[in-house]
Amino acid sequence: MPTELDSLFARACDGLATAEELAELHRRLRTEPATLDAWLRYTALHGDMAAGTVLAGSETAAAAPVAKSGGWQAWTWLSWAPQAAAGLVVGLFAASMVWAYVIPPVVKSRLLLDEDFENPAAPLASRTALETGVWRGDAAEIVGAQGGVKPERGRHMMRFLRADFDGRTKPAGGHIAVAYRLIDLRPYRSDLTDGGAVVEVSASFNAVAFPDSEKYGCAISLYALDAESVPDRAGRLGSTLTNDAIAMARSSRTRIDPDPSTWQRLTTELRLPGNAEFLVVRLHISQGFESAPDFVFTGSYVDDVRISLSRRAPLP
Amino acid sequence: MDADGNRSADEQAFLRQFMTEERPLLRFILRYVPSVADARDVLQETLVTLWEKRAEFDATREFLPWACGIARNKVREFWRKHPRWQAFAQDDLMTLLDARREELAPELSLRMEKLRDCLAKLPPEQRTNLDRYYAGEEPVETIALREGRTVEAVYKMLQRTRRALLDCIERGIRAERAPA
Repeated sequence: MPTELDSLFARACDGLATAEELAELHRRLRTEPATLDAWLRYTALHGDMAAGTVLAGSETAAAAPVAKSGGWQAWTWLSWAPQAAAGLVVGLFAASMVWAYVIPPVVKSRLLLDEDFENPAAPLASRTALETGVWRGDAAEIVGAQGGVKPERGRHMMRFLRADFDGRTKPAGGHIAVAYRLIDLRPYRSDLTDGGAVVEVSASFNAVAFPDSEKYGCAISLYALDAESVPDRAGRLGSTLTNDAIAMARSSRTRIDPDPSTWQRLTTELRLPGNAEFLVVRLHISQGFESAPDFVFTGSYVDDVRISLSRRAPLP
Repeated sequence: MDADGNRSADEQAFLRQFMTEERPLLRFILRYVPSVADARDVLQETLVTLWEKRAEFDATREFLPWACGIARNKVREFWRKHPRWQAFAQDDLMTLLDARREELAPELSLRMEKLRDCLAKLPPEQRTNLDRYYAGEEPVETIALREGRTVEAVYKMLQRTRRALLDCIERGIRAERAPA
């Protein structure tokens, strides 16, 4: 198969083809019998893999675990429910005990991020412009087990180092260290428009053993933004996010216990407005005690961050 | 059993069919709308309509052909509604695709068997990424971050892997047809 045809088929199957490319594909399918046959073979291969005919449950599946981030986990069942007549929803979920048995095992959410910090190259410690796919924020590093703290999941976790960032040398009151993650919601726009989507973020926090005189807290904040409001610099995020967010939510601040063998799991959620295009997740650890050194965090960690999108009936 | 009980039993049976055939339906839709995200949108629309029309379903008939008929209409709707795909809605391309697919059916069936063998022969890294993309539906951006590659590089890798699988299938078919 010619390379350019192979590339056209791949772009169509990966959802990248433009209108012009699809028009070209259409023309060739109608006029070139060899291209038609090649397309049918290509889409059969693609369809067999995408529909799970050959990959899911295959005995030959690779040993490496397959993350489920981003994939619909039987999302279809829930995502169409709000479109259906009220009778359908009632029928599905209430008409019979059998249905009640059938439906609950179906997972109702899409995992947007499943972060276990196993990639040591994850860029951190920078408050340059937020971008999707990377963590931004105060100085931090990816570490293995240390100071009696073992990663909550996998072999690595993120350690907050200082409550500062590039270009800020002597800020006042540096007792809160933060990490930001930008999530592009636009690919899921069709699921947001009716206001029936809820994003849930959970993360585990921990710290090395510390005396009773010291106090550490952690929290998660979520900000839904339209594209124009995504901050171009993370250094002034606080007020920008609060002022420009079209919806926001924050967990209560939770105390971190002094036992390094236990993690504190926090979860918070936000119902996304129909016009939300981006989500900013802000994780923070604070040290609130008189002798706390400015900027320096001796041993505070976060691990196992999960961000999921699910459907719930829009509010009346 | 009273009327409500009968209705409930019928709906339970319908629901079981519904759930059993979701994957074959997705595969059917992917023939015409190959982007998985778009195909899932069409699948959702199909499922809604199937449920709305459940009273019309004749339980003595096979479920999947009936469902595919509705899915076919949803594909046409999708082509018409989405500007990118409007070229496909201009004429009866679907009939052309169906007719040729039927002629190639024995070969396509053989190719699926060969695909299983070829997947087993893939290098572990390629196989893992293929699993993540297809079975795990992991976004390419996530795979790129995990692999320390660019998004473009991951798309290229997927393209090369599919190409390698097609070549492997061709070799397998040629070997089978070669005289002993």
